[in-house]
Amino acid sequence: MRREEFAELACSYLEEITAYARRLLGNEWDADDLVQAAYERAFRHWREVREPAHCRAWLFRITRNLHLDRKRSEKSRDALRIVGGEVTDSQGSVSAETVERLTAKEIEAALGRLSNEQREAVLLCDLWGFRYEEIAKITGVPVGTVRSRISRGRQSLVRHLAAASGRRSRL
Amino acid sequence: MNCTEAAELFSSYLDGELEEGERLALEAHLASCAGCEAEVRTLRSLKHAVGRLGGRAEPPESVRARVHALSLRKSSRARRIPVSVLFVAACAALALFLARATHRDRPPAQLLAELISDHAKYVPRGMPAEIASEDPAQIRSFFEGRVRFSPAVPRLPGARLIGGRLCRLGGEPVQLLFYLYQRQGLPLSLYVTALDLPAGKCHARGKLRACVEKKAPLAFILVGEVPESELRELLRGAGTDDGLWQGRTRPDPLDAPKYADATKPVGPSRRRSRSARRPLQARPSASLDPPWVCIPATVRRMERTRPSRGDA
Repeated sequence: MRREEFAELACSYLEEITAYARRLLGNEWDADDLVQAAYERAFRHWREVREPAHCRAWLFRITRNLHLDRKRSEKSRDALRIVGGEVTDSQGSVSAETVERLTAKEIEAALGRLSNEQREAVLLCDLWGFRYEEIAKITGVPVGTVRSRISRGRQSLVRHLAAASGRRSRL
Repeated sequence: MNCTEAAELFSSYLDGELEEGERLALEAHLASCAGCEAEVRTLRSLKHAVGRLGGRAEPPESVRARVHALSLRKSSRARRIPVSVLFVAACAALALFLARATHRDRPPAQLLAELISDHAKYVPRGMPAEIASEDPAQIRSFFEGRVRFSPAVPRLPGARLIGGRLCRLGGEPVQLLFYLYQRQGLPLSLYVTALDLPAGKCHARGKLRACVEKKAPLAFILVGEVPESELRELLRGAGTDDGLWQGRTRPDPLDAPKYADATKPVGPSRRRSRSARRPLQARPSASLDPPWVCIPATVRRMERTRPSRGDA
């Protein structure tokens, strides 16, 4: 791949990388800084991308690794922190029709209760449409782990939504 | 396949990640189990709902500009080029160099006229600052690493610093600082650059003036609706708390395109030092050829793309 091709491809993913960085960091200021640093790193190492088809996942991986590097250098354990916590007192389920009526805010709230690892795997799969193998490369874990995180993550989402739905119907 | 075994495969099935045999076995189970089939429909709806959250977000203009600049930058690793190609390229470069040298004796009047035009058009509508602050140290740190010289944020006598933004003149990043001239409450634009501009030049259009002052190694262009004598006085009185005109340029010797050098006649017989020759050869984009206008392009983009923050 020539540099011009890489540059064109990389720039076409800028909005996705921006959204990903904002999800990683939770605030726009730091996320925008991360995006810029990720692209600087990407343009230094662009030759690592052998195939154009790998470029997008590679950019996501660079962004993620850079984020983790910074976290480590800050001696922060945020990257491993579990946000929220899994609901264990609910075995409920919701119907497909109920899910279709949910607002984005409700979905976000449920996502926010997943572990970082599960949320990341679910988002990479459902929001950005990566294959399991690509997610494994981005996150640096085996494909089996990705499969498990997505499966468990979705089950947790259903339970959280069922619990939220139950609370709403009791009001 | 029982329901527990089937449930383990739902997610992979929805993502198209099952092998053929597993997929067929699961579909056979789903055809006969209403409970599992309903669960798969729920998970499919959930997958689609997450997919609708929006995986794209508009980056700020500064990030987009930086990424764009990175995409245009030449690769640092040299490629192997045949000697014959190098010879032809060298001849072409020499011809271009000589041709351009004959056009380099124009004064920076056109540059100053463009900057006056920018000031007249954009500044009264609200100074398009990227950083709004009255603190020189804060503004200076904003420019650290963004310009290829040690940033300078001078105090102008009788003018109040209110902000700044990053601009480009002839492809070179420069500082643009905004002040309010307290005598008349008028806005002033001060460009700080490492470009080697001839000192003392002024240009006028209507009531607007632009003047150049040199405090080596930096050049300052002050623009405002202020008489020329007052602009010169402001520039002469400019100073910093930290004795700023040390203004070291970055160690990269290619930083400052030589405008003043370029005003002198250049011919094959004139011997030029290696350091004086390198900037023009190595960074042709840093020459003072148009486009050098820095505000309109960025402001137009800002006006066109309103950042959407709620996407991610």
